[in-house]
Amino acid sequence: MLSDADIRKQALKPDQSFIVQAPAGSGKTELLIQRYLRLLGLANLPEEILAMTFTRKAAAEMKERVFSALIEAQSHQRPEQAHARFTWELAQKVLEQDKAREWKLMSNPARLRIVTIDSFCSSLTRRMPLLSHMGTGLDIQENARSLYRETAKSVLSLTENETNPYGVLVRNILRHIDNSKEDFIKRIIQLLTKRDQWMISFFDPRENLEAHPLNESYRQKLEHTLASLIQSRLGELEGLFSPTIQKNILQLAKYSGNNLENVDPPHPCACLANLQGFPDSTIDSLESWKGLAHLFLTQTNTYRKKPDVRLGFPAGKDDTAKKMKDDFVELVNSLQENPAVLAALAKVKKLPRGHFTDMEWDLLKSTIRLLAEINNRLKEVFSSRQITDFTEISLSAISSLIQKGEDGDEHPTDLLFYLDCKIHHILVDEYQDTSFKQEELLRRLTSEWSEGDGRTLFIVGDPKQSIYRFRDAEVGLFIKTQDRGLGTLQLSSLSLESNFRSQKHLVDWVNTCFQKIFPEHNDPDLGAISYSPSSAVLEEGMQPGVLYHPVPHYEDSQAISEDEARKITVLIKELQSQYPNKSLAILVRGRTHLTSIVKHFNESNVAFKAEAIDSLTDRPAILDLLSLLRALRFPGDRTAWLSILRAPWCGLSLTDIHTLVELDRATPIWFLLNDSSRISLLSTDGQKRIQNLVHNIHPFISGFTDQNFRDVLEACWIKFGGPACLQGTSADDIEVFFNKVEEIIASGQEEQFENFDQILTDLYASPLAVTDNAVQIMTMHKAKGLEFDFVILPGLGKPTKADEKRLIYWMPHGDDLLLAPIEEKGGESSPLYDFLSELNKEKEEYETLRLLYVAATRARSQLHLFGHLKPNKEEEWKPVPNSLLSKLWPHIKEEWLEKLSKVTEFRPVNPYSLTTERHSIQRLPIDFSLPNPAEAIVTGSVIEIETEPEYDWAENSARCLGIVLHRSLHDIAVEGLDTWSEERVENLRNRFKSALLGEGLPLELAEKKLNIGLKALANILKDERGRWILAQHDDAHSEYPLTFYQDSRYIRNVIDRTFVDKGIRWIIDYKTGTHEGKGKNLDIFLDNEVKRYKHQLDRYEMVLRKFGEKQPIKKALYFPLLKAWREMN
Amino acid sequence: MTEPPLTLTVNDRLARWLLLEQDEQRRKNGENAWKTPPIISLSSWLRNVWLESWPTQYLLSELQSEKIWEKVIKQNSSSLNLLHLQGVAAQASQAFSLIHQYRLPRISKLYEQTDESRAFLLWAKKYESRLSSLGALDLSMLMDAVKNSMQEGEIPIPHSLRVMGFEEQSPQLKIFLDFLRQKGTHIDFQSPVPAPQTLTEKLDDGNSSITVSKYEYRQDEAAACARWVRAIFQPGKRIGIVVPELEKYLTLLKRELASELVPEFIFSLDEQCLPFNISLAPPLSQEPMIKLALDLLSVKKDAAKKATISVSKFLSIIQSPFLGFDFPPTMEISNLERELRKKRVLSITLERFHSVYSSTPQLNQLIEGLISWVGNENKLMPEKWAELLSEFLKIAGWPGNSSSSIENNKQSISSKRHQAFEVWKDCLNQLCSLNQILGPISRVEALNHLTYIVRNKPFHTKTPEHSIQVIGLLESSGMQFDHLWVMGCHSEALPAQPEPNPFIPYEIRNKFSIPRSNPQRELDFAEQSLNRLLIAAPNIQFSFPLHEGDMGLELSPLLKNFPQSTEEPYPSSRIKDQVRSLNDMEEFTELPFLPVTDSEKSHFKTQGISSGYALLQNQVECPFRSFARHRLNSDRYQSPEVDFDNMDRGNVIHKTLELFWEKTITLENLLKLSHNSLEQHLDQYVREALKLCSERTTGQTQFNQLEIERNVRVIHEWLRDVEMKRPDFKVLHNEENVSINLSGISLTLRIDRIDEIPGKGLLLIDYKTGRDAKPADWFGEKIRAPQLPLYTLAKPPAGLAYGHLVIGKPEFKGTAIPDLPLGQFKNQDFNKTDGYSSWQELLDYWKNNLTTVADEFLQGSNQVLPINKGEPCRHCEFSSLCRIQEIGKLEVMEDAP
Repeated sequence: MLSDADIRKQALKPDQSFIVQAPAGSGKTELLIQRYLRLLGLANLPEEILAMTFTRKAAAEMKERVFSALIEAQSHQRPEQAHARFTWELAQKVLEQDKAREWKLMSNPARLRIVTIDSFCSSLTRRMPLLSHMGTGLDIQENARSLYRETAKSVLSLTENETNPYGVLVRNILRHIDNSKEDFIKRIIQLLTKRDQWMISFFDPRENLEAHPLNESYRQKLEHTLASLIQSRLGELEGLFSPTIQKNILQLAKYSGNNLENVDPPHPCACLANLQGFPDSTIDSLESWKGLAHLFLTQTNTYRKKPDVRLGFPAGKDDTAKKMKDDFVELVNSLQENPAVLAALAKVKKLPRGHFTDMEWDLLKSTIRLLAEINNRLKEVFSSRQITDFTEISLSAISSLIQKGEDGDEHPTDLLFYLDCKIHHILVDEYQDTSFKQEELLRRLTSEWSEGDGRTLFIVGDPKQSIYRFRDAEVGLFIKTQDRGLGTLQLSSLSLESNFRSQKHLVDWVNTCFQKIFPEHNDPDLGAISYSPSSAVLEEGMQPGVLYHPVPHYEDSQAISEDEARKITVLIKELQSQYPNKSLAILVRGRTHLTSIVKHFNESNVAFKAEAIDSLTDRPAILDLLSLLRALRFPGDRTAWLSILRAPWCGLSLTDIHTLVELDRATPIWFLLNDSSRISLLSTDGQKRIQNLVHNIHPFISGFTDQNFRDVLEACWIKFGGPACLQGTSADDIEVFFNKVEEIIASGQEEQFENFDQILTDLYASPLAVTDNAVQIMTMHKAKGLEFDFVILPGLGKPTKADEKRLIYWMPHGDDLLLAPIEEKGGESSPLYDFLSELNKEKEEYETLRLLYVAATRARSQLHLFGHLKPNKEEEWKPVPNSLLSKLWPHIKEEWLEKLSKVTEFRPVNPYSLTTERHSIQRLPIDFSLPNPAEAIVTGSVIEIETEPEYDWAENSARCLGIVLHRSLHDIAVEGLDTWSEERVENLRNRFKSALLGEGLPLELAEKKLNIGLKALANILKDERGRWILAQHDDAHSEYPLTFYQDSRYIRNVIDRTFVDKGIRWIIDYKTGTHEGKGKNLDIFLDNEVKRYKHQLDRYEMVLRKFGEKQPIKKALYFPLLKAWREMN
Repeated sequence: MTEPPLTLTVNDRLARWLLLEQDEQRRKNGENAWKTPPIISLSSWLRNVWLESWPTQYLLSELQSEKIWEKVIKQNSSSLNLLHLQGVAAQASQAFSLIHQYRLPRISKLYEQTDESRAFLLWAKKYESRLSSLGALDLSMLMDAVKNSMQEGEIPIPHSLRVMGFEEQSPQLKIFLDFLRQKGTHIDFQSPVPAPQTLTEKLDDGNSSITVSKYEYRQDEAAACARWVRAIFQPGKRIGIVVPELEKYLTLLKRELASELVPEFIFSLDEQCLPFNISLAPPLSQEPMIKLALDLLSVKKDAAKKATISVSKFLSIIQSPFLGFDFPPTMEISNLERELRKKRVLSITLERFHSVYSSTPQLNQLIEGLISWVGNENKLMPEKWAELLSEFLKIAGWPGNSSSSIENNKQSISSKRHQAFEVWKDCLNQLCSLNQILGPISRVEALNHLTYIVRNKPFHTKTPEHSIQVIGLLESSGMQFDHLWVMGCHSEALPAQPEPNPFIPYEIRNKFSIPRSNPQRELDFAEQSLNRLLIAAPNIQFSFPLHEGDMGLELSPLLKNFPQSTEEPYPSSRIKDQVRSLNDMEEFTELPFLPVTDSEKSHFKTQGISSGYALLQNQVECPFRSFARHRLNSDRYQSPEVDFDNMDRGNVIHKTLELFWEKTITLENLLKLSHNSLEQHLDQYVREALKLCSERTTGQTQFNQLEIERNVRVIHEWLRDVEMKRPDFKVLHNEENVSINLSGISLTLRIDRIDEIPGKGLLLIDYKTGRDAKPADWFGEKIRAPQLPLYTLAKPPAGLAYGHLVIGKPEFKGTAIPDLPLGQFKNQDFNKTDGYSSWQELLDYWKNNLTTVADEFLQGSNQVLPINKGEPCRHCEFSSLCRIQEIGKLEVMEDAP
């Protein structure tokens, strides 16, 4: 065996690919960084090396560490410590390379390609909009659940489609799930959230999804996978029996079978009559195995104590009967020596047949076919909103890594042309959490690599810490990659075992405990990971390393968490006073475990920082805001209105509220609040409070439609004094709330406000305290990669949630797939579905063990375990099955029980009886008033509306013609009337048309308008008034730009035409509008126009005056198309 | 005064900024009015001189060229759907313009390597031939075209030019300027980027102060900046806030600046009083009034070709002031809403609306207009669509009258509405400009295009130019300030990640220095911009946030040599913070009892309470709940998830059984029915029962067929496995209504069924079609399921039972007198489990217990006392009203396994 130091050295070999297994505390990130530096020191371009992590946080951290190493090397002396020196030297090499190759890394760290897998995929698709079929410019929605729902509804709507083949499928599935629309939608959403699994598993994403060959041979393929799994199970079982026992069993089995064969042919043991020998592990022997299992095990999977006639052991005094019975008892006794036999036999009972029933197959086909359509519908929904999600992006990225050439052959896409350089090295962290999708990505990225070609893959992870199954992590992939490499690429497998983090006592405890409870062997398909011990680098520290805190739970205990929380609070205070500089963390499995701990900490003034732990809706101030939101948006929502009356900023008493609404069920509360006769019935205090409320809310309730609703809501809340009523809610939580409101508004999905409370439950309140020595509270998942001096694990006694039913159960097995359709609602339970579900449970249990391992290995000095036990009927204390405690039980049982017995000696009298105390709430005093706002830094100017706004969109083509006519008139005036003849106007034809087209008129219209325009120009040239306007005058200007200052702002004007004629300054504005009417109608029109533009021309007059015009001024409108003229006075 | 020279700027923003400077200068000189100096962006100038020359080739707008690209791409690449296409078209168009600006080669060999570049080259050819057939040119060709026209004398050559704000010159610009110089134009090219020497001098002279500060999050950074502006502001001083990733900061910064600089703004929301300008505006599509218009226009047809609209959308439309409706709605609309919500319909078919709901003339007009708009299936020119949609919107009353808005800022609202309308008109004009390019299109297509236009149209509310400017990094080029804050300077933004145009092959990208194309280019750009900023003001503050979400950020390495700011943070002037610091909440204790008033009493007595058992159940589960429900009549609208939910499913089964037993009556009759006739009967009854939900599932023939099959099956199974196996019985009543007087409250009850067991007595039956119901809930100190026990007060029975009509598991369970013959029946033995010695004792117990509960209700307990560790709270809608979180009574719910 190599020592860790040697292994670390080896892992830096730049021309070799590795997979490194690195347990908790082994300094794996350091290794990764060293290798990254090593490769960087040899690279041509920094972009040649791609390092991928799973979270943005991890990527940012790794980047930061690499960059700090470089800064260290740039500015500091060679360090003394060996491993730091090594990193320093590697970084020195990088700096040399940086200089030689002119990378300018130190100014441009963005060049370090250390990214999340998601962002790598998204940059790929952005660079291949066609190849990936993604186009560009789509927003990425991180939580697309509401769109999944929309998709599910759209799929459901296919029901009515009589002819569409998918309609048939949907109806088929509906029938199967008791025709429940709600169920259907739920299942489809579930499928969509997991679609990266089935998209990869069922379909080659490049192929036409509809074309999936669901023929007999595919069925056989699937059945084959199933059968082989069953056979391997039987194989395990077969190996458990010694030849002697086999012989004995065979004898008894045949005896039972022969006796039952004729009496009770359907009996499970009847088939044993035909046994030729001890059953083997082929699928054909399944029935016999089941017979055996039935023979020896009771319904509840214990050994039968005595066989009877129902089992084919007739009563009888004759020798055979007696002997057989005795043999049976004896055999059972000998079987009991090996506990594995019992478990294995129990499993056999549940094994499904090795094939699908026709009905199952039919349903499977329906479902798989429908998957394609589900995916299409989702795409439609996405594109109609112009958004997408990360799953879609990574699937597209993966599929575009293989291209079809013109010859129809597939070959890997040359990323050189997309990423601007070839990728030479890939490093992946936390590989134990990789999913099939991600593995597929890596496989394709490296599909043409081979050993020794200078390109390497470096994978790091610890399968014992794989805890992201719910996010599709598949720990088996790590084992498989270790064993078989990735695709065609072989990786050398290395393992580290030093633990630099925890003191020796802890490491020892972890070693013994997990050695005991982890599975003995690796099984990639089941996600079973065997334990490999770590060796402590640190000396022994605190004794003991692990402390047990049992909490008894009696039937009448009101709340276990309360008890636990109280104990934890005491412990924390103790630790804090004893070790003021040590870090403390509480790690929980689920968020809901914490409510009482948080409550107790608050009451006892324990500073803590809880990350993403308690839901926003647990905060009263948030609920009040929610009511306000509903009241403003849905004025008919009585509960919301009554709630805001009772919120602290209104603070109406229940008595007054009752008086207000007494015996009225229908009138909206808003009307009641404005009903003075109602209001007069209230207490004086109540009347005043309502007056304030109505006064304050009125401007907002009717005014919000024009404004951003988020701003209106916040303003209204502030107006009420909401910020003075936070009641322990942090200002950040309020921000989280408003940010969500804003997000919904920006996304245009305002219908989501109907169910805004549900949306809020998924949002988490932000950390309250920032004291340095605060206790950190987080989920075990979040704690991965972190370390603390003291770690406390509460709630280990709680059971975990059961699995939801799925429309289709799929599970990868080896390189194939296990599939089961959902069982029919109300029908018999499907052994196939149950089997997969059972397998899933097994996987889940292994995962739970790993989660415990992660949690336990976060501690540097000491670990504290809290959990409750229930006495069962025999007064024996036992952990709830399915709880974390039950997992640890084999190791901790004795010591735990001993501790427990000390605690239970003094059983407390139930202290939590509910009292009927009066409840009091907080509210603002009646004379509350807002402080005067600070002055604005400048008092702004208001732009007034000049004319009564007219909400009318005029005919487009007239507008276009107007623009071009203005341009012509300007030219004529500037160039001089004499240079313009009718002929010249006619020659303008082509260019005039082009100008109209340029304004966007279609050809026919342009031609039509062109004639009108040219005719108008010709007319003007003939019109005396027109000629006068355009003729040369004194001080004449066209399109005259002038600026003046008024009311603290600058106003810009452009005057169409102005000149001085006979001592009069004329201001003329062209109006190119037309009017159908003649005579009197026309006059009315023209007079209206005068009215309309008076203000504008007055402004022109003013600016000219300001500019120094002294002569009398006359203003007029000229209508070239109507040959009309209106002077203004 | 001499004529100022023609000044061409890199962008419109700089032109306006320089104009403002000129204006200020003029005003300081005491002038009242002046000729607007010719300062204009280069691109506007080119466009103007081009148009003034009456060219024969017409100039396409950006939108027009993009749409041509779209068409070309669509014809040549089938793999993209329309919406993906829009982004691709924009990028292709950009690549095309890069080719012109940077004089990139177009040799096809270079474009062979990727699908993208290969396709692009093909598209570009088609695009160009499309342009020439239109006789048009696009904006990327304009500069060259102007140059040619100048060469030919069609456009006069300016004698002098000042060019400002160009950090760098593209080859196209360089060629153009060289050409002008050759022709004798005097060009004063003012580069905003300092020579290295100038920069060193500036940094060394000691007068300037440049510091760096860090904040936790962007919010903190923006808030600090706003406070800083307030602290240093002086009239006339120019303050610049430059933000490299402005789109991320936009709303945040605007809100912070507004609430800090004009604290009262938050109440008026009148943007005109804001003393700063932000260069980036949100798209018009964000404007509520426009959103509503688009919502209204995009009402679709359902599968049956009927105009259909979701109820939530419909309600928001008929309460919208933009259509002249009142908000809060009138009683009439309120009632309509309540009716719709009560019926739990998900969507409305407009054609049917008239016949089902009474409505106002205004509503009728709207709906008729909408039906005919949605029904238009013609293919028409975009211009025609613009006309039609405008007509329809006008009929619909859009955009409403402003008189209903808030009194105190009516003016500003109607001004904003007016401005939005002006921009909207502009969008319609743009839509019209696509006539020639798109040809006749369908309504849906027209709307897609319009939506695209509106989404990409920035909506700047008109405000005067101010001396406080918030701008992006690029736009700040050429601007000078007295104070400058540069925000968001983290290492991922300065320099940024390259984002090359995917249609330009990478070899070309590498060779020619195209913006955004490679890391070196990004670094150069960042350094150049920083250098420029360093001389843009004497006083500069750089800042960055330490976190984005849970990700850590670092300071840009380009700024690492500047000192940390040591300035104390400035105080806040936001109203929010002032209010927060007030801490004068008072404790207030509610009366624990609000006894029922006389009028309530008489109401409960005479009017009664329907589904009266709920009152008792609520009272048992939590006194506050029944207080809120039955005394405050509190109620909220639940929007149903689907149009046929569990409640409907239950109702249909109940109704079917009612119909069935009304006809069949006895076991004997039941047994006489043959299998076939039983199925036939059931089929008929289920069909009848389904009519209950006809409004929600109208048109869903397929689903209804499935539902018929399902119900027949469930009920058939139930009859076969449960009812037929019972000893003799006779159904006396179905869905029988009874009133019970309990402590003076008249409770109306309806019992699903009452059977007579010959010679023994009555059996009360409650059907359950959903979750498991437990007879255990009838016993104990708190009777959680009082419905059947309550009923025994009216009809003393010999037994009570739940009838579980669940597929696969039909069963009867309940409790009964010992010798009641019931067949397959899960009997909860009352005297074993709960120690009642006789049936009568049990009946008495129920009577007493339930009377007590009713008395409690009358006493008016309003205490928040949920039973079972708060289990009822999980599905309770009153938590905001009872304030249980605040009272702290909520026992940890998750403890229930």
